[in-house]
Amino acid sequence: MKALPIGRYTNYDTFLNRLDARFKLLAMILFMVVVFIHFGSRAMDFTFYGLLMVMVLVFMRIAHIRIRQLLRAIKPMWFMMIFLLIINVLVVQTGEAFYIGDFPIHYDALFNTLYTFVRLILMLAFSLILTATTKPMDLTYALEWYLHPLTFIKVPVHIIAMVISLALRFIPTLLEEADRFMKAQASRGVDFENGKLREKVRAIISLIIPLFVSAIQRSTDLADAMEVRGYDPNGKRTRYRIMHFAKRDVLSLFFLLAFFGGMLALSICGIDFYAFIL
Amino acid sequence: MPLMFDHVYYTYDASSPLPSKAIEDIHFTLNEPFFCGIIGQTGSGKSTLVQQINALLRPTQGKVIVGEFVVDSSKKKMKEIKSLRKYAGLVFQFAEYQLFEETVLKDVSFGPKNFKENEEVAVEKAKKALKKVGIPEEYFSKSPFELSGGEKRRVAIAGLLAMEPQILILDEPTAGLDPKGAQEILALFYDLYQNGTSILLITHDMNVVLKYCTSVMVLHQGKLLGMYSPLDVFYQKELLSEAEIDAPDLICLVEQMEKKGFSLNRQNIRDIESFVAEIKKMKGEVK
Amino acid sequence: MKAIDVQHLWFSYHQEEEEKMILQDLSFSCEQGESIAFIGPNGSGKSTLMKLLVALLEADKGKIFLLDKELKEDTVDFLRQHIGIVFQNPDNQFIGATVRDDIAFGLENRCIPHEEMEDIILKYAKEVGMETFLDKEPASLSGGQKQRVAIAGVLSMHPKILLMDEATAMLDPKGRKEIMALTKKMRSENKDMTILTVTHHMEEALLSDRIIVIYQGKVYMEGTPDEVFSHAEELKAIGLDLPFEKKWKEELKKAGFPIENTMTDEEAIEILCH
Repeated sequence: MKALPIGRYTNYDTFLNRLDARFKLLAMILFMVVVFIHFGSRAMDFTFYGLLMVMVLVFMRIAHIRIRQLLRAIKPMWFMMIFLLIINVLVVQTGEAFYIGDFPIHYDALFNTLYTFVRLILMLAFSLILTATTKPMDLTYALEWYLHPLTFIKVPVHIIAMVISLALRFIPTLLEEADRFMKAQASRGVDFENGKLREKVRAIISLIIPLFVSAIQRSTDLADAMEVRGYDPNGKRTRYRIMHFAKRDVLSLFFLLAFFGGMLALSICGIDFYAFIL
Repeated sequence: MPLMFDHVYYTYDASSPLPSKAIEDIHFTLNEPFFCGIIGQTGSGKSTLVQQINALLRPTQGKVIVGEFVVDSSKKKMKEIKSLRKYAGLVFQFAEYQLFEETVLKDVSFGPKNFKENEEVAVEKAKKALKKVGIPEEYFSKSPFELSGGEKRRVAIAGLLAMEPQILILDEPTAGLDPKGAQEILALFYDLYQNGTSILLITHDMNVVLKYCTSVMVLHQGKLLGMYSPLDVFYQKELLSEAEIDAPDLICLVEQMEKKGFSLNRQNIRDIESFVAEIKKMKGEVK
Repeated sequence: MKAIDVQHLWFSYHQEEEEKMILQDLSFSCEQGESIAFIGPNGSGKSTLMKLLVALLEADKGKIFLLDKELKEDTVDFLRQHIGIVFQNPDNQFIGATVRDDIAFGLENRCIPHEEMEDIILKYAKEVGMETFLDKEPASLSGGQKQRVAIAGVLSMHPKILLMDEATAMLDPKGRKEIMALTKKMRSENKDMTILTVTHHMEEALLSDRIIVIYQGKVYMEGTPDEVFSHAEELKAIGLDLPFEKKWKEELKKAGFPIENTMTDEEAIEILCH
């Protein structure tokens, strides 16, 4: 139950934790873009992947994230990767190849898979760093801030943000409750692990219905509580949480943009360092 | 048959960076049939302790012996666990939320059916259990969601009774019920106990412990401070303050009267009725 | 000025079915600064009444006056500024991500300027003894602590009427004691705040000025705690009990001792001594 796909917020007081959520969200998006840029050559690509990986490790070190956590996040993808490799080997028929018996395996197939694999790891790592160093609520505020311009075309940004924040607020409560229901039904002889399909369906139903009923009850209660405390989704409200950019955010932003700009320039010009060396 | 805890430890998230010890070195033996109370502050490990008994949690160290079953850290076959869960039934707090079937009768027979009873026997057992908790027949075909809170709680308890457990474990079964509803349910448990079922009752209501329990376990911060007779435990001021438990009002009254020079036989006082009888007896003697 | 005046209230969740009326011609009123406890068996309509008072439900028939104004569609928003309610489930009324944010939620709705919020939050967190938990998330708080935050959130709105709808029902004895102590403190510090409590715990009912017993949607009995609890048999008939400090005296009285349940413990023990 507790192994959520992305990292949980860890309450360390590190440089990364202190950075403004809006900056961190932007940084993550830009890093993800960088992951997808092609440079002058394959060698260049992987050089930069290496560079990004080093940055990731440094960030993880700063944020007290263990490598094990990253490995755990990657774990469910092994199967997909092997599947992808097989597909690639069967489909990609270009470039040089080596043979196992009579069967040709093209290097392009291997590299295609490797690209996907490395990109996935990097993206996972960046999102892990973001979620481990940023409170979910701050992320919601950041998202709301970025989406704010949409209010001019009548998108209910505030309501969306409120819904997300309430969902985040209730995730731990509902997880705990699911755990309790599971145990309660197990006490009545339900076997959640083994059994025929029919029994399994029954087991799931015995869990889903109580969860559903209770979630509806909770949302009704919550709606009542919000209403009597004067909440009007369309009304005017003031804000308690106001985010301020600090010096470190501005400085970090400068470095981030410089880095991103450099990467973009290298990519567009198609410069290949290795061509000069060799 | 005994219920035995042999130096049981349980730690949540044992392999994570933040393991938390829930219970430590729990060691006791109870001979069936018993009506044992478990008391202690919220977070003292009461729920964790009882979940070891039907293997919802397995001891990280030590073992639990429940009748013929042994629960320890090793993986057991599900079949064996199933018969263990039939032997020791656990009713969770606010059990009414676990109802899910279309009708009351179906929901109560869900348990027996899971334990491979055939349809007819399961329904028979369900009817018997519903009768015991005082749900009238015209409710059997109703949806459990139509019932009132108190009725739902009874149906949920019937759901466990229908499994005919040897040991019935109850986590705060009367929380949120009105005084009458609470009393009826407790009387039911006492009746079951007198007919040979063992009862393990987690409760914050010390009056209930004093009135019904034959023994009581006091937990504090995951440790078992001891197993006592309810007639003694509430006079032990130091123990109570260590476990952060308030003595029942009746005990405070008895102590107050003793200070005024009354000599009451503490072993006879379990509730207001027996208290009044004791006073009568004493006054009679004086006259 | 009457704080609350409820006249001939009828309510049912399913209007078609006559016999399922939750409230049947219920009337009561209370003065400003009074504290009233509502007791009654499960399903007697106490909580429904509370929801009607804060306009979460609408009555089928009858009128509700709050602070001499009738509760109607066009007065709801105004009256809600003067009435606060604490519900039963501590989890389901915790809206903010932290204690701070939860107290702020009501302030944001009332458009309190950002600059003033911090002070208000601190003041009311202190009032309920939660000032050292401001950055805690609900998952790491006890039920009693969550209810205290809920009370702080309500108090920060300066309500003239405070409703406690079984606010202690889901708490352990420690949490219940915390809330009872807090209620006592609020009563002594805000003399003109009207407090209505719904409870199953007779000990809690003892703390109020007046008790109203609700049974099958009607007012079954009404009076000071001493008056109401002198009708032990009538209460027992509808499934209610006496609080302990009344009950043992009542039982001794029944056994023929010259004791009344309105006596203090000392008086009663003194009589037994002789």
